[in-house]
Amino acid sequence: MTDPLLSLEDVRAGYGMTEVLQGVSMDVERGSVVSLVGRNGVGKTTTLRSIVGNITPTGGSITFNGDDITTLNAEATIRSGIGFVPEERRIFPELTVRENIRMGEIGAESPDGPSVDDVLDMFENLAEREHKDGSVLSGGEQQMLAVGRALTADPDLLLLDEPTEGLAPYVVRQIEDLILELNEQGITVLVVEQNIPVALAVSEYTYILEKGEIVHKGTAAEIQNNEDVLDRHLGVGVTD
Amino acid sequence: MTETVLETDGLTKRFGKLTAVDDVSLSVADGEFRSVIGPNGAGKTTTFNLITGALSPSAGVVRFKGEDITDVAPHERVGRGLGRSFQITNVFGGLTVRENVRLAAQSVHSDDINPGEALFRDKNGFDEIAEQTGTVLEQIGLQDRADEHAEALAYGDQRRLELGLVLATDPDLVMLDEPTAGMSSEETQATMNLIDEVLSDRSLMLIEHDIDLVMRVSDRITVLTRGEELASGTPDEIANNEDVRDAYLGGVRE
Amino acid sequence: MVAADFIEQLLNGLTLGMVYVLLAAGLSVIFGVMDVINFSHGELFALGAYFSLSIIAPFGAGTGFWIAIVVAPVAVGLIGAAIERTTVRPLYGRDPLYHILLTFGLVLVINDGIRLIWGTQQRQLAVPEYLSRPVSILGVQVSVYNYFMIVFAALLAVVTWYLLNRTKYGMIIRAGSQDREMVRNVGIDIDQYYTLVFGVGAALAAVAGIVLGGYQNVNTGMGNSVIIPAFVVVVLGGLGSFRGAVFGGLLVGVVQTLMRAYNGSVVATVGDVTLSVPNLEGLTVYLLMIAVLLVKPQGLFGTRGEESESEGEILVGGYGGVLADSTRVRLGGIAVVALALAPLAILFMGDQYYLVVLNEILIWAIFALSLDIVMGYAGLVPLGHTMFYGVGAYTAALVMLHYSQSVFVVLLGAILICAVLAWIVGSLSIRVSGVYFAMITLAFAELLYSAVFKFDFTGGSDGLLGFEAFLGFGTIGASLSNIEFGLLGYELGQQFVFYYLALLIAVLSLLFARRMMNAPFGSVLQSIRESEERAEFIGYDVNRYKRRAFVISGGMAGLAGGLLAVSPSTVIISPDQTLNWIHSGEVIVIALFGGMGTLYGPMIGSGVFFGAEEFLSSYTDQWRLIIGTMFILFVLFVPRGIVSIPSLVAQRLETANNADGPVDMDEPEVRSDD
Repeated sequence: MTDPLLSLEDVRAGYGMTEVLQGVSMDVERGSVVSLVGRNGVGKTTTLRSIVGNITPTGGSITFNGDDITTLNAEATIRSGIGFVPEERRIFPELTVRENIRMGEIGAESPDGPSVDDVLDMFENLAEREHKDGSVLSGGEQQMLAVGRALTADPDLLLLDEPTEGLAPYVVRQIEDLILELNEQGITVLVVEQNIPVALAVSEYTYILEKGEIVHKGTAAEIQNNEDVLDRHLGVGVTD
Repeated sequence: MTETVLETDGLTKRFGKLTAVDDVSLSVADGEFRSVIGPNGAGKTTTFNLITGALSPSAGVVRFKGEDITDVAPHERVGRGLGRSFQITNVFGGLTVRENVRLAAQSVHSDDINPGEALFRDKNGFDEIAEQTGTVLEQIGLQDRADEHAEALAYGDQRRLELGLVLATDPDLVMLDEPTAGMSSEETQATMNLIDEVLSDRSLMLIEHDIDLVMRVSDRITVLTRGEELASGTPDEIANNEDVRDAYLGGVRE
Repeated sequence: MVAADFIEQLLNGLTLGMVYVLLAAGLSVIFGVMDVINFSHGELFALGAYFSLSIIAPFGAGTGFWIAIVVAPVAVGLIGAAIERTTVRPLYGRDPLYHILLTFGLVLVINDGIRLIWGTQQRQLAVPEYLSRPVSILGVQVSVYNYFMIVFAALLAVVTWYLLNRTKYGMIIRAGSQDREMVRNVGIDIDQYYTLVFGVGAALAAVAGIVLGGYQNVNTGMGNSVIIPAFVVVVLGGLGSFRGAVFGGLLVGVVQTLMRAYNGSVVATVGDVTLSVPNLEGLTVYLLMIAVLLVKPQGLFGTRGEESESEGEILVGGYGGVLADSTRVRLGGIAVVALALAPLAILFMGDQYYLVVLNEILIWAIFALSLDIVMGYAGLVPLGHTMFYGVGAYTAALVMLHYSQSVFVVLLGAILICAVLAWIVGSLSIRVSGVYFAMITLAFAELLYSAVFKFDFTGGSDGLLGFEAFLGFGTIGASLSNIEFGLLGYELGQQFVFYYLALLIAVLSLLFARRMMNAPFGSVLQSIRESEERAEFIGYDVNRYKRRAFVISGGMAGLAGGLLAVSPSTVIISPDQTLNWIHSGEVIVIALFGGMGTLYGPMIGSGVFFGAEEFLSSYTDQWRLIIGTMFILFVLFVPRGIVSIPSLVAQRLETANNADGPVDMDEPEVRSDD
């Protein structure tokens, strides 16, 4: 049994005095798709930001590919093989599609990774808008662009923060397919989602976060059928 | 027959093409504990800001204690009894605990202070204000730490201070903005106990993500989704509402 | 030929405009990417010209000029990069005010450095002979140099545009000004690029300096005279926008030149009415700047959103100090007594000159105190506060000349007029915040500075003279210059009397300010400084309080200016002495030196500043360089000012590792939706 690609152990983190993560532990197996779900405000984004290095955890440890990345800053974490697609995509609004992807390529400095043209080949609709500014793209296109930008780093692990937020249903479907396809190509994915059906559709294993702690974990299949868990932690609660 | 302390009528807010709040009409009774919940992007914060006056509506009306306050400035709303609590980072860190509370108490007495006094009289020389400050300090349990600087307080005490600031303005309705964000379950419990202790005799409007909490403490709950009001009712009613469940768990969506 | 004349002026305008473009481009991009306002940009501009002088000297104008225009910008660029690495980089995350302070300190250092190395004489920059010939094209006669400037600068602008938009580094820099954190999140260390940006910006400024130096001349004041128009351009065009810098630069250059050329000329005669171009030269650009700041602060091309809550805070002195309040009061009392006795000591030393210095210190102590009211308490950073000092001085002089010589009437007049001015300026300026507030107050100050040159009653560039104060009222009292009495065999004259008047007023001002801060009004100001939002939501009309603080502050600064006019050592009230923007900077320096937010701190700062000036200038001509360096060190390491030194020392002694430093980051709210 090989070690998980990414491992969080009792991670505590927050902003200033507010400690949002109260000791989060989770593993992401190599080659899998894992989802982290929970209502908003529970610390899902904080978890990703801690992994990436935008926040430094105040306790616990984060291991990636055998290395301790707990205190690494963002630049170093990305270069170690993690791609990050943040909440709200955050593409560079006044750079063109091509330039956006190129930014990812520069940051990664990865000679084996896909080139800008490779990424454009992957995403037809982006190729059509190659020289348009990021700001004029639709939500779905921006999402694709953000993913493409991260892919140039040839990441072993891809972190996605609420990739389907604000997107129309058919675009959501496209994102789901994209995630599965990337996984098939060998990329491990950790996706944070508030959209439960999407999370359960793409992932094999799911962690449920509530108030800064993991309150439940299991295979997607298990959770899908567990009404109690769904209502209690993700819905509007159970009337006891 | 209970009075309505807060009422919104067709409240709408547009940001360019995006309609963040769409025709929300709700009404909070005097003494009620109302929570507003909803999945991400529901428009809760925008609605909150429209009521406190931090934003102006594109359409619609806000009525407080029967009076139209739609065009009233935020600081004036406070003066009329519409209090707002922040997350803890907003106490006056460099000032002492006592001074924090005194400032809040002073603001509701502003009318009693003439310009000459405002400029020259020792701020601690106003009996009524001092008395109110003392009372509030006791109520929030910080009388022993009154002379410490606010930023030196422990997290939980800063929370108390924050509520003290609200309390000192003597509000009829208190708007609470995600007061337990980033807190553990224990801290959440402690906070809610404190709110109960200190603000129970006033009307409360809470925005929260913590559903358990909301179910436990609210008299009524309003669920917003995509800027619209999806449902309003008692905790039981909301918990058993299929539409609400779908909004949170997915399933049938437009 | 009117048309040819017009085109000539247009060309002149474009020439000047291109210089502005080069300056503003660097300034704007530096701000857009790094959030740094670089006041020293003008001195880097001058440095380029001065370096060229040295390079041209051995080679002669023919080849020297071309070598200089390549080598000098590179040298200045390297200096700029070094400045960024050593002084600007440590300040990231602090309130933008500190960049202004730091770069202002750099102004003093670089300017004095220039004086030291090249002397204070105005110099000519030798330009190749074939460039300075006049040429006539289609009846339009200008120098070849004009065309050269326009073409060369345009070329550089195009190259810069190319670098920004078509190269890898340019792309990263553009991305950085759009979303700094995301640049990190794709794996790029953006900090390294800041050095590049600052360096290139400096190099562009240097080119502008060389080019303009050849057109006019090279002098130690050239940086000063160009930095304000550069800021106007940047604000107009939009902070952070290269395109805006180009557009704004050309616009300002052309408008300035045309207004100067057609000043007063008749435009048309309609019936009996003669329409002529109003004498607004010099005023137009500032009016334009104010208008832009009020209507669209981001400028014509700026894309930055509403000014976000600044990351840092204004660090105040005296907080958590080691001395108890009662000890401080006692120390204050001792200080006052010492000051009261000082003149006698000076008398014994025999040199009345020190009295003059002390008088200056007292006047500026009041000025600095006035600044602390808004900066250290209400949290507003005005960059044009000298306008009140100057208007106060002018008002006092005018009252003395035309109305009454009584000291009381004079000072009262100065206070009142300045309070009204502050009310007007404040009401308009407070609508915007942060950097924009600083800029708009600067614009108003420059407006007034330019205005006093134009009117007869303010004496134009000569200023006002011949006024005298009367210590008394009506017929009771004596003219200040007539007061003389003997004490212990020494003769005590007007300096002596004025000293005690100034000391009295200074002490009263401090007591007034203290009283105010301990009263309800002052307590609210402090809460605004701590957290404006919270203050609003416990029920205070924040804008009203800010406005009132501004009025009180303006009135007090006017009092200081009035005292200046009354002072026996003042013979002339002139624009540069009272309204030059450099005084706005000096008073901020003084306040920071002493320690803002303490009231007495800035007053101490005044003593230190002028005392140091006196002391140092007797040893070296380069005292400004030393003070500038001291100041930079303070900004970096002792931002809370002199009054905080005791507690800093105490901290160090207590825990060796207490490198907590003075930086407190505001915590972001924990929010994840809407």
